[in-house]
Amino acid sequence: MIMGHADLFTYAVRGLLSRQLRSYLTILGVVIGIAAIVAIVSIGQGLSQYIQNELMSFGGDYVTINPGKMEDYASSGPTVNMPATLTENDRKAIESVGGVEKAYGQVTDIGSIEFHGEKGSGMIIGTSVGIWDAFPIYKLREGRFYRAEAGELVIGAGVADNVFKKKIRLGDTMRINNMSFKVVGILEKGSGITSAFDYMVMLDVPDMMRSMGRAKTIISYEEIDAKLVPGSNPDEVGVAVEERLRNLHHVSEENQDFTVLTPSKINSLIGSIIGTLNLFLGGLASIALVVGGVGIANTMFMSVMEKTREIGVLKALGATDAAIMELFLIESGMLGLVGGLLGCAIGLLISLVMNQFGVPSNVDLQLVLYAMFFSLAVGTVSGLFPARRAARLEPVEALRYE
Amino acid sequence: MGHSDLARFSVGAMSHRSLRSWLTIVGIVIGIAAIVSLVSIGYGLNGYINKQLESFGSNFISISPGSPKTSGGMLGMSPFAGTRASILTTNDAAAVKGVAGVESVYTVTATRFDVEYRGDTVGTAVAGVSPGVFRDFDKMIKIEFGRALTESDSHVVVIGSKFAKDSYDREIELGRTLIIGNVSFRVVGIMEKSEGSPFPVDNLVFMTPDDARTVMGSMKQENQVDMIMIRTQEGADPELIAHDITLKLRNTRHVTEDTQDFRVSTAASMMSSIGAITGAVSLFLGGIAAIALAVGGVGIANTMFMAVTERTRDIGVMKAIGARERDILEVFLIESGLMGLIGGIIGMLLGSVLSIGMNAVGVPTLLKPELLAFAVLFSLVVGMVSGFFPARKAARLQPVDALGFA
Repeated sequence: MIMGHADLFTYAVRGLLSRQLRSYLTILGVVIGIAAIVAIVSIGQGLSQYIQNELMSFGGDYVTINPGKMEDYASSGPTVNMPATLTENDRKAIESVGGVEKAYGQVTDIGSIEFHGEKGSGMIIGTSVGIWDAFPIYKLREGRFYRAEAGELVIGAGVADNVFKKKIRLGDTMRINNMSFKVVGILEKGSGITSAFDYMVMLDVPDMMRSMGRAKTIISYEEIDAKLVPGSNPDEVGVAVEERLRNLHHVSEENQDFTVLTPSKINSLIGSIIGTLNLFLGGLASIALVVGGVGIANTMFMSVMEKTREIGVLKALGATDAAIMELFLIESGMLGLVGGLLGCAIGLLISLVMNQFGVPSNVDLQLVLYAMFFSLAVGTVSGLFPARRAARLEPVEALRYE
Repeated sequence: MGHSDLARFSVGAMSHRSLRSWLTIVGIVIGIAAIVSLVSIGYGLNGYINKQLESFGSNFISISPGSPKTSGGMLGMSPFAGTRASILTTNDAAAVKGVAGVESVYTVTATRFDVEYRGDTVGTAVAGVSPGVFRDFDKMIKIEFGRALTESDSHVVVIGSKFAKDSYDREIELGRTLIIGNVSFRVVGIMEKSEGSPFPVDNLVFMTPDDARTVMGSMKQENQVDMIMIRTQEGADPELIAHDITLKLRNTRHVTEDTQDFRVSTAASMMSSIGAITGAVSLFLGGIAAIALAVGGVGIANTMFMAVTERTRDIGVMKAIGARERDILEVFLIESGLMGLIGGIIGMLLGSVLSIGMNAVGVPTLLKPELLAFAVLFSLVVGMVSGFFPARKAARLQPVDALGFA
């Protein structure tokens, strides 16, 4: 007897259908596992997409320089604790690097804020005039941005509306560290990254220095942001900036006391963090799939046992070991694949529903294809031992089996 | 038939089909092992953070400005603390001193400042702290070189190790002079590295409150302090004292519960807010692991349906000789419950080994007896729930039909 692949396939499917409940329960195990993987990974990808979109709002042509080594940020926590070791000299040096259009310095502090006799303390940020032209994340709800050293400031929407009993309006006077400033602009209420601006007071760096009693000519920054000439490559400019600052600070690459980040570096940094998280969660969800695979193996062992006589007959009629093996591998592979199909559908559904509730999720074809392939593989691998047992049965022994 | 007979019947049936039973049990083992090891990570994380917080001691209370309704970050020192305008002053510190059970009160006033060393200037956080802090919080602020601040000090500073080492071209040594706001300060102490502590001091410069007032001058409101730290008397309940402090300050600051503009936290309240976060992490990881257990449960259901089908004739015979539906139900529930239980015990052991292994390579884990007991109990429940439908199917078989089953 010669059975073609198509015959084996029909035979395997008929076998599955004849034991419906058992097949469905086995498939259910795979469905749960695959659905969990698809849902979790799609949320991870959505999150990654969301963060990347947020970062896009900074534009793609900048380089940002922070004091300290990259590792310091992980160990020292909030940047407020980092010494500001970047100077006005550094800023000028960065501005002179080819490809840099303009470099803006930034200082933050927690200072005292007074309005209409009410006192509080809050985040004060000093940034060079013009940074809003270079980075489109600063958006005004009303008024205008401050001029250089004019005793003017811009406040976040939260500061204007919520912090003081009386709402702050354009033209009002506020005291920062006991120096008077005129409110000339109020920022739009932020979302995502920009919501950090809501409770912030923003003013010109020299004004801020003066209010903090730092009237010295030497200004130290916690961050310098360089806007690039259109068309220049941020990574190349980043390397040039790094070299310039190393020369200026007399340091080598090993003991470098600053960190230069480019959009692609930030992206890959975040990508690798989310990728690791995704791998971890996807790995956890895969445990369920492994259990599903054990279920397939179990079902297949039983199926082999029940069909011992049939196998004997097939072998007596001339079926080869390979054909028997194929027969059972098709059966277990089908269990995996059907489970994968249904699991993908349910996983996508969960991911869509999550999306409705505001959880970013992102489904790509690659994930679906991967899940399908994975489920087929799990089915086939789980069926390997049962199928081998079937293939190795002696026809005579098998025919005698009760 | 007695319960023990039914149990013996179940066990006998299971060992008859040992491969199938073992594969079914493996599913539960994997699920339970995953739950135990992952939840133990959540517990371990919580224990790790609490241990860090213990360096404050349990008789510790902190007061910071801002509404208690907005979260103030871990120590109430978030830069967004001012979502309601308010400041604390030395008057508040004085008012708190009078509360029963308060042993000592310390103030912290901080800002960023330009610090000059050998002609180089770097901006860093400068804080005026009551010298008693070094004595009372010696578990979290340790001196490595030199000495701590004392009450009689003037124009001297104690600095963080990282600030000393990395901020300037040359390391700052004891006895050197720093210029802060046109005033010269002598470095009398360098603190130990505090990496990983909830109160990082590595980049800080500490001076006395009087010096800070001189240096910060107009940058702060009159008598403004940024944080008040309190040691309570040994044996007194910090929670009760915190409550009294809250009432007292509401009174002196003329605010009500609704308009309260300051936050009072105790070591216990900090720990419980951290416990809420790590609890959520545990629940999430355990939940994902529980998916695997659910799949294992489906496996039990599958195996039990098969067992019922195979033993249809047995069931018919048992019913014919007087077994009630309840007895049949019991036989099959014992069988499925047993598979769950065995899987649970092995899984619990395997999960414990995994958890201990992770601990050995540096992942903080903690195996609580409750977790282990819960895992075993849960697996028993999963086994029985999974076996319920197959068992009911068996129980409801008509003896005549069952005997006629070929």
